[in-house]
Amino acid sequence: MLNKALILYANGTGEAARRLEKIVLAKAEEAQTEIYSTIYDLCKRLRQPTYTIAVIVLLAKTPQDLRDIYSIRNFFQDLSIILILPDNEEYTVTKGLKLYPRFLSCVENDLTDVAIVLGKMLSLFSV
Amino acid sequence: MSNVLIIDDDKSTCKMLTRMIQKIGHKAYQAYTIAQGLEAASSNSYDVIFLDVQLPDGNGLNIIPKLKGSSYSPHVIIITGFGNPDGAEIAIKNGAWDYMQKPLSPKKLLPPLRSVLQYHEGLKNIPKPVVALKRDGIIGSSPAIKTCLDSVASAANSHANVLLTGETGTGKEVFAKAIHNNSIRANNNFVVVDCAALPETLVESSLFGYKKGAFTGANRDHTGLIRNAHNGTLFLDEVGELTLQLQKTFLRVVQERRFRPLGATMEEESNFRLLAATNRDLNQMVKEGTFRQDLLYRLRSITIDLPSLKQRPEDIKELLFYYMRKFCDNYQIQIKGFSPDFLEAICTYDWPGNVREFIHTLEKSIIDARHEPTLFHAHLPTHIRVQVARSSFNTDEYAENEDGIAPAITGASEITSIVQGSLTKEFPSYKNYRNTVLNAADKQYLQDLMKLTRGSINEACSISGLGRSRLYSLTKKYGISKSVKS
Repeated sequence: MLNKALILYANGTGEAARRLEKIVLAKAEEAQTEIYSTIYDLCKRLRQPTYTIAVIVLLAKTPQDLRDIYSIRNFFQDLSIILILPDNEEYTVTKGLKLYPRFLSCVENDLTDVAIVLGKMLSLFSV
Repeated sequence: MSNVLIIDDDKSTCKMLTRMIQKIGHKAYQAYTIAQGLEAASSNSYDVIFLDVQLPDGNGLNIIPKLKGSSYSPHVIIITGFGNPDGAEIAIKNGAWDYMQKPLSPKKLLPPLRSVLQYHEGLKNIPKPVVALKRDGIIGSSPAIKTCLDSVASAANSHANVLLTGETGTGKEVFAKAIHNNSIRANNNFVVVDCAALPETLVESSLFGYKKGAFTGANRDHTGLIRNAHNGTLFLDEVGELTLQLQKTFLRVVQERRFRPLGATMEEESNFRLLAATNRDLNQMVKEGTFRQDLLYRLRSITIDLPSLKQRPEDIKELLFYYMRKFCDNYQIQIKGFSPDFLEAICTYDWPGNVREFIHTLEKSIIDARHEPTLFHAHLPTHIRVQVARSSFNTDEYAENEDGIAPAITGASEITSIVQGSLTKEFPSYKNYRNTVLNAADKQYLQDLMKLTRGSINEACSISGLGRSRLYSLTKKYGISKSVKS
């Protein structure tokens, strides 16, 4: 039987990355979790079948992270994204919205909202 | 002067309509079957078509999309001797201008005819600007999709709220993006609100935003999605999932484009354009009391109903080519060919998950056939091959019950008498005999079905697997009314 996949992209380390990894790994029983820390590895993964991917959680810790993610936006077509932005500035939010995320959060939040939404999205997805 | 085509096998009706149309200064032409009507419509331009339902070679309702999809886009008025509300609904949903029950009289016919001709004349005089619509991944050239794209173009040129309806996987979000990208708001934000994924506890704070200190964890001010959509588009996906309380709150936002962030003392404004989508029957939800009627009225200033993939099978090849190329490019492999049995299978299968299911299935098939240059039937998932194999037996040639066993033919005495009767006179041909037997079995099945469902068309469709228009035409063919007594 095909398992649904949950992907996390978090460049480097840091508090936000650690919190997100914890949130994602807590869902290990519901979905096959995959964690990528470079854009290159994420691209390589998205060149493989994507029909099992329930959710992609993208952490943009810095504006440069967001630019990197934005540069591969074509890979996210038809995929459900949760996007965590580096800040709530208008310019940043506008750039983030161009990825058409299903849910938007910010590194400054405690990310419990991400955990709740992630759980709901996984429960709604079927392969 | 307009051209009017009459498609009706009743020649007296054709004569009467022709006289009436000519009397008011227009030209009338006649066709007596669906085949003749389609040929006439494809070779000449007609402004209006009067279309009967019960025709010798099929149900007129089924050809409305084809007629309307022609380059002249005529208006279709349905005329029928067996009118009923379900038929009227099917006709209007398929784009008919009007639905009229025979017997027809000039008094009954002239007002709608004059009205549609006047409308048609008006349209002709408005120059249609040539606009290249950005289709953004909407694949297909069928009449059904072209109708939707016309609606996208109209919606993109207005500021009205739009409700997109359709089964899951039909591309409601894709169409919403197309409306946005073809509008004057294209350079501003397109904000998606996934009403199904957002838990109730988060919807308000996400939509309206909040001030610092509004609740535990609100460490700073946060702009909500409604404000993010200012001068852009707010897309509510799965709008039917909103709770009644949230519907009430959101209704005011839709009416006034004003809202109050959580913890704020002042209201804020947002000039957003609202698009909403649902695969649920909101009219039914209103009846059940789970969706507000006043909100529904505001959401559907324009409604675009997306067809299921089953309703536009002629687009399957185009979808196949498009996504084959896309996936092979993505995986950096050579484009694959496909065998006739693969193509037949994907054109036969129902695709209950619509385009999304089609895309996922194709992707999986390409992966399964990784090193092979051609896709075969065998590369498709088992459940699809099973359904396709089963459907090849669900024709007039063979009918199985759930256990896969041919049932004892009900009306067996009728069959016996047919055989016995034929032994006493000229023995029938196999074809005639077979048709008689099958018609008797069909009739018995439909009688039993209508008894079981107490005449409920919805339930009958659900149990039998027949489409509404097919069930409608079969019950008429065998003279079975909805109120079949036990």
